[in-house]
Parts: sequence; C-alpha cells; structure tokens
Amino acid sequence: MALLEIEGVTKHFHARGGKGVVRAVNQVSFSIDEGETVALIGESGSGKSTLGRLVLRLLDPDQGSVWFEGTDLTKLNVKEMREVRARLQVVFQEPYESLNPRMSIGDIIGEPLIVHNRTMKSTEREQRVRETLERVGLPQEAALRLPGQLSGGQQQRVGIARAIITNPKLIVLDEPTSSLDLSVRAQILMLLADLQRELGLAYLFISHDISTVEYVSQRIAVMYLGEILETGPVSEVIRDPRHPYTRALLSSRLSTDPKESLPRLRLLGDIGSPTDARGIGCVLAPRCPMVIDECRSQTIDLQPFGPDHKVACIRAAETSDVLLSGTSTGAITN
Amino acid sequence: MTETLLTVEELAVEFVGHKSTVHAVNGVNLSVNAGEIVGIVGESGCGKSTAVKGILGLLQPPGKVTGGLAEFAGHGDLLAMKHKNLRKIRGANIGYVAQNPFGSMNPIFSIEQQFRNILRAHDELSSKKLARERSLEMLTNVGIAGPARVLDGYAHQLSGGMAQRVVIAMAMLLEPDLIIADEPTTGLDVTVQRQILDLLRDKVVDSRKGILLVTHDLGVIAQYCDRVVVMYAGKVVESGSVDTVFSDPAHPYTAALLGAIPRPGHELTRLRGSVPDLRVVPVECAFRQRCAHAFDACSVSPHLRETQPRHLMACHLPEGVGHGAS
Amino acid sequence: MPNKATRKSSQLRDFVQMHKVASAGAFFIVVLISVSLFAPLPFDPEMPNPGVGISSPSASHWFGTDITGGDVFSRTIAAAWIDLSLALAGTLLSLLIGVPLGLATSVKRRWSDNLVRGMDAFQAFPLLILALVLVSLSGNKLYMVVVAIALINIPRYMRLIRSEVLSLRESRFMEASHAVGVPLPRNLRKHVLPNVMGIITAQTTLTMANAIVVIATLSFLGIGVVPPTPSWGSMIRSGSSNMISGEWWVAIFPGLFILLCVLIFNQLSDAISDFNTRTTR
Repeated sequence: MALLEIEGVTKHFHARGGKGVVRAVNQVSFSIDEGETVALIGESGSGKSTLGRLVLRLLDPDQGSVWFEGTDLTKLNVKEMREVRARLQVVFQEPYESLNPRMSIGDIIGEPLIVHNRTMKSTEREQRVRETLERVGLPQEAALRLPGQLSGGQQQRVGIARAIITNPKLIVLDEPTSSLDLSVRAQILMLLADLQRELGLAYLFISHDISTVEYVSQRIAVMYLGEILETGPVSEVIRDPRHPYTRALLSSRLSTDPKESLPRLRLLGDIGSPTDARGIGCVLAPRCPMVIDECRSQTIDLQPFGPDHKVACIRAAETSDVLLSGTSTGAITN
Repeated sequence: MTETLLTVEELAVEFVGHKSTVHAVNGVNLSVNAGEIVGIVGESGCGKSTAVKGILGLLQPPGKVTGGLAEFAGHGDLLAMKHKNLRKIRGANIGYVAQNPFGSMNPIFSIEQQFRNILRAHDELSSKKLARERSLEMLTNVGIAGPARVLDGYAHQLSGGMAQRVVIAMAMLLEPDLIIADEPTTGLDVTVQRQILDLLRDKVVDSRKGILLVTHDLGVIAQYCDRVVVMYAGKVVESGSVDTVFSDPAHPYTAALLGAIPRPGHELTRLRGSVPDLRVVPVECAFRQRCAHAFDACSVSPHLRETQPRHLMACHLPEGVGHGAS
Repeated sequence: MPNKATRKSSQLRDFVQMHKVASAGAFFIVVLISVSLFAPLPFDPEMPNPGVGISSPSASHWFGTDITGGDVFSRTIAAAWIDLSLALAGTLLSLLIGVPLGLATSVKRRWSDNLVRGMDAFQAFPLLILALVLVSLSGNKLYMVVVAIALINIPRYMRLIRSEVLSLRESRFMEASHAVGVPLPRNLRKHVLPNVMGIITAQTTLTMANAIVVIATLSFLGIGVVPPTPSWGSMIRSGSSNMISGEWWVAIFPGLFILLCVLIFNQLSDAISDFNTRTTR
C-alpha cells in the first residue's frame, strides 16, 4: 500500500456574507509512495495549499479519507493524531513567519522531541539537535540565536531541521523556496534532495513554479479550482502535457534562455474564482479553447492516458493536434 | 539615433542609523534609451529598489542619496533638483510603478477620483468630463474590459492583476517618456505576469518610450528586457545586452546566478557564504569572499569597465569568467 | 542555562540605551519608593505642628508647611510609599486575574463568548463610582482600594490578552506548532505567553499610571487613604482651599508628584512597546 493515499477528499468553505460556497478542494484523490516526491502544481485559488493542510489534518475534510501508513487520519482523535504527527511533518513557505520569534533555534528544533519522545533525556535531545543542525548545514552556534538573527535561507533550514528531527516518513513542503532568493533557492533544493536520499523521505511538494519542482520531483499533479486535472511522471507531463490547462501553464513559463521563446497557449479570461458555481462539467470549460458541449454536461474524471499518466479531459488525445499552432489561441478578456 | 532618456552615474545611497551607517547603494551606473527595456536584476538586499527610489527622490529618512548623478533627458540632474521640480517630473515625465499596487492606491477614494487627482496635480484637464474620458481611454489601453465599472469602483474591489493594471494606467496617464517599474509582477500568477509584462512591452515598442524594470526574476529579464544591469551588494557588477550577458556572463556573480537556475540534469552551482555586511565601507571587491576565482588584485574593489562593446563589468579578471553557464 | 541569563541582561542594557529618558524615570520611581520607605524624613509626616502654622517653602521646610504645621516635603515623600504600593498591589491583582481570564476567553467556546459579554456589561458601569461605593462601604479599608483598582483594570487586561492571542492564533508559527503536535498547555506556556509578555508589561505600566490616579481621586474625596496618613490626593484636597489665599505649595507639590509618576509610567509603557517591536525583527 502507498504511504499516503487520499480518496475523494473535498473541502468547501462558506464565503462570508452568504455569498456562496468556496469549493476549495473537490473530490481529489492521489497517492504517494515511500521515498517518492509528488509535486502539486497550481496557481492561486487552485486549492493546493488547502489540500496540503488537509493531508496534515490541520483542516478536516468534508468528505473523503486520508490514509497514511494504512490508517485513516480523519478517524483519529486528537491524541492519536498527535502521535502520527511525528511521522508526518511540514515545512512552510515563509521561513520567518513559521518560527516563534522569541524561541531559540535550539529550542525550536528540539521541541518535536519533547512532544513526541517524552522519555528522552535532555542530554540525548541536545545531541540530536546538534546532529540535526549539522545535517541541514547550520553552524552549531545557531542553536543559541533567535530566528530574527538568521538569514532567510538559514531560517528555512531551521524549518527543515524541525521537520526531520523525529524521522518522519512524509513531509509536506508548502512552497518552501518561493520566498527565497534564487541562489538560496538552489541550496535549499539541493538540501531537500540530499535529505530525501539519506533519510528515505517522501515529499508532497506544493508549488506554483514548475521549474522548481522539475528538479526534485518524480511525479506531478496539476490542480485548478480544487480539482486535479492531470497526473503523471514529471518528465512525461512536461514533455507531453495532455490537458489544455497544463499546456497553458507550461507555456506561460518564462524561459531563462533569452533565445528561447516558448509558444504561448492562452486561456480565455482570468483565473476563475473557486466560488463560481459549478455543478457539473469540466472546471476549465469557461476558459478552454478546446471546449465542446460535452465538456459542460458530463462529469469529467481522471482517465488513464498512458502508463501512469492520467488526464481529466475528454479530448486529451487531440490536445497536441488542436493546440500545436501554439501562439494566441484566444483573446484576453476580463 | 537612439535617444538616451536616463543616465545614472556613481549613485550612492546611505541609511544613517544611530549606531551605524548602511551603505545600501555604492556605485550604480546605468542608462536607459528610448525604445528599450532595461532590467535591473539582483537578489534581496542588493540595493536595486533603493537605487531606483533614490533616483526618483522617493527615499524616506534615514535614507538619503549621498552621491552620483541622474541625468534625465532635457531636464538635468534629478538628484540636484529642487523637490518642487522633481515632483513635477514624477508623474508627468517619469512614471513609477511600485511593487504592491494596493499600496499605491488610496482606499478611500474611487479610482476615478484618483485619476482626476493626478491630472489636477499636474495642471491638466480641469474638466471632469474630459478627465473621465481620458481615464477610460487609459484603462482600455491597459487591457481592462469594462473600464467604466473599474473607474467607478474602489481599490479593494480589484484583483491583484487588475490593480496592477490600474496602477500602470495611472503611471502612464500623463504619457511619461520613462517608466520605472519596481517588481511590478512579483506575487502575481504567472499567466497574469505575462499579461502585465506584454502590456508594458507594447507601450515601449509603440511609442519609443523607455522602461527601467527592477526584478529578481531571471525569466522576466530573459524574455522581456533588451539590456540587463546586474547588481550585487549595492553596486552594478555587470551590464550589457541580455543576449550577451546570458550566454556569456563575465562577472563571477552573474555566472553563479545563472548557474543557480534549476534545470533537470544540470548541476546547480553551489554559492557559498553570504552577502557582505553593508555597514562596512567595502574596500575589497564585495564578491571576493564567495568567488572561486579571487586573487590578489581583488583586495581592491574593481571599477566597471568595458570588455566588449556596450558590455561592462566590474571584475579584475581580464576577460571575466569566459564562457558561462547556459 | 548561562546563555538565557546573559541574553536577558543584554536585553536590559539595550533597552536602557535605546530609551534613556524612560529608564531614568524608572530609576527615579525606584529611588522615590526606597527613600519613602527607608530614609529618615526631616519631620514626622503624621504629626501636626500647630505652633508653626502655614508657611511657604524655606530652608527648613523645603516644600513649606500646611495649615496644621505639617511639613509638606515629608508628607509628600511619605505618601509616595503608600500611594505607589497600593497602586502596585492593585496592578498585580489585575494582572493575576486579568491575564488568565484573557487566556481563557481566547478559546473558541460558547462560555468564553458569554464571559466576554459579561465583561462588556460590567464595563458599562461607571467603574470609578463603583470603586467609590465599595471602598466607602467597607469603611475605607485599604485592601478594598486594591480590589477597586483591580476591578477597574481587569477588563482591560482581559481584552488585550484576548485580542492578542486571537491574532497570534492566525500566525504561521502557531500553525507550525499545531503541525508539530504541541499540546495546548505547552502551547500556552511556550508559544503564547512569551509573545504576549511584551504587551502585558506595557499594559502593566499603564495600569500603574491609572491606579495612581484612582487612588489620588479616592483620597481626594476623603475615601481610601484618609488623614492623618499622608496621601497625595488628600493633600491636594486640603491644599486646594489654600490656593485661593495664594498658598500654592500645599497642593502643588503633591500634584506635581502625581503628574511626574503618571508621566513616567506612560513613558515606560511607550518605551516597552517600542522596544518590543524593534527587537522582534
């Protein structure tokens, strides 16, 4: 069985003022194996961060189950869930915000041990903190400092240290490098890759930037307005995106090679809002350049397209033909 | 005949604190010609935003410009100007787009009122009707369908992308020759980013204006800028056409930066160490401690010099690092 | 741990350096209390001296004498200990009840909302009048003054803590500690409390300022600290009638001390708030 398996997870929020329902996450299912990195890509409003929190049970799903190591997390009580957290950790996007500004680095990193290993002696704990500091590439004297005295990259290393000290099996990384400078980003990505190898970690890597996840992920899931539209091995999805949304997303990347200009696929209009009422049909229908009537009237599920490549599009086979002309298929309106 | 809109030489900015002085900008040299987009790229703390604010006289105390000149075509040195005159130029001749669009808009006034205020501040179009027409035209120009609704509304009703478009419209309202945009798309979704950048680029190409674009995103530079200025620790370390700098970076920092771009199968450059403390006036090259090629001469801070036509860099290595990462 | 102690003392040094005026004021208060408590006064503050009568400030009576011949200087200094210690006691009581109350009401439960509403209703009363009534009904017992101060200030602490904790709850590091699995008691102790300490300290100095005024008001009205025990408020009262006849010193000096103490505590509160914001980034 997979390390993490989520089935039919749904989370709706009620917009304030009764202005409808925010369908943040809608019937999402996927799995992560031990030692594997699955990237979750999406723009704002896609629900990727909400999904991350659902996996961590920082939020409770309205429907569906979250299976971790064979146990359904949604059925656990607070105490049982706490025990699970030793093996299911998280690294957040904003390095500084995720650290208690008045707690020393050593205390921050050591806290998970205090919470989960009550019987551990303080000397042993300090030893573990020292080892972990070294593992994430921080100097020993950082243990006595406060978060505000470290750089952004160092702060993120602290966040990572805190996440690995209890030897977790799965870490949810919520945009861990988005707030960091480019050169620091590279260092952190390398650290994450090294740690995965050394400790056999699995990652759920949430990001909006495909270039970042390409480097560390094996599989990718593309999300839009609460639904997963395409999954598959990273190299294959990037080489041959089958869902029009994936294609649009990939083509809007800014290549760092000035001579390379990726053919743009533009979707109509702006990113939809998760409050737009949708009963049935594809979530991209209002904006899709390939849309046909059936797209709006049928329930669109993830269909297998190749070995391990799934797409939620009834015209997936024709995507490359229809959109091969690349540039400007569709005007920008509001 | 390329007309030079802006020339900046040896710009210096300091922040005087009660314990120490931070030399945030320590020698910025750049120029912007009509019809081109110049990008300033650098990581956080390199001084790019500070430099631009210094040029426009937008620095708040304890920051102040302590040296250099900023020659703006036909108007003289911006740094030596009286506040009154500088204020007239800002808005009318130079448009400024700040990073956070909501910070540039007043939440209490309607969008129309804010447009009218701009026009009125520069003694243009006192007629309400004409002002409205001009504003609607501007909003349509920036790609907003349904400009009337936006004009009658308020800032908080706009999405990030729309707000940035409105702010750009405000900056272009008086048809300035130069637009300075400080990280105009950071934080926006990639698709929206493309739209905003396309918009800016169209404006430049059409009407022979110039844009000075500050960003930390190398992709933006690669795809939208004609020339690039690379900043590190308050100084310009390299500048030239985007094509040459990207394919053949001369300065070790530029090479390291380009090497840090994540690409599958490509070994990321390890850049050790960290940015030097700007409270100390640098004598040696600011990049020395992290540079793999440092040698004796590097104990003196190098000046910008031309290694190829219109390609400048500040490094003691005769040819820079040669063939760079790509 | 050696390091925590050195960190605290260097924090203190930084504070003094950054806020010299406020620190000087704090030092003055400490000196005032010590002198009031321990130093021998030139004259017995509670002993009238009818033979002398009212006289203006002179070499032997630095602040002059009042109508009973009592030395204004000795009385003013002696009153410092009484007024300030009562203020301190009242403040501490407010703290000890207000802070836990604030923490309790920051939990998302029905009963905490009700408690907050109860506090709203309570604050609708004119609390100073309530204090007046309570203290005089008790027969001017000093402990009642302390209780009265507490009653007035507990709602303020409660609200402050509550709003601070509620906003803290939205912060990312609280979410992170939830993700780590930190149980509630430890969360409160290690994460919430240290981060509200700054606000509590700033509010405490403000409460002191308020308490001083309340005590002075009560004794001005002849309630709480009554003559012959010297109190700034009652001194002002007796001296106010002298003002008309031009004998300003009886009322002005105690008034000046009240002003000074309130100013100092307000300054301290500002300084602490400022220090807090500056040292967390």
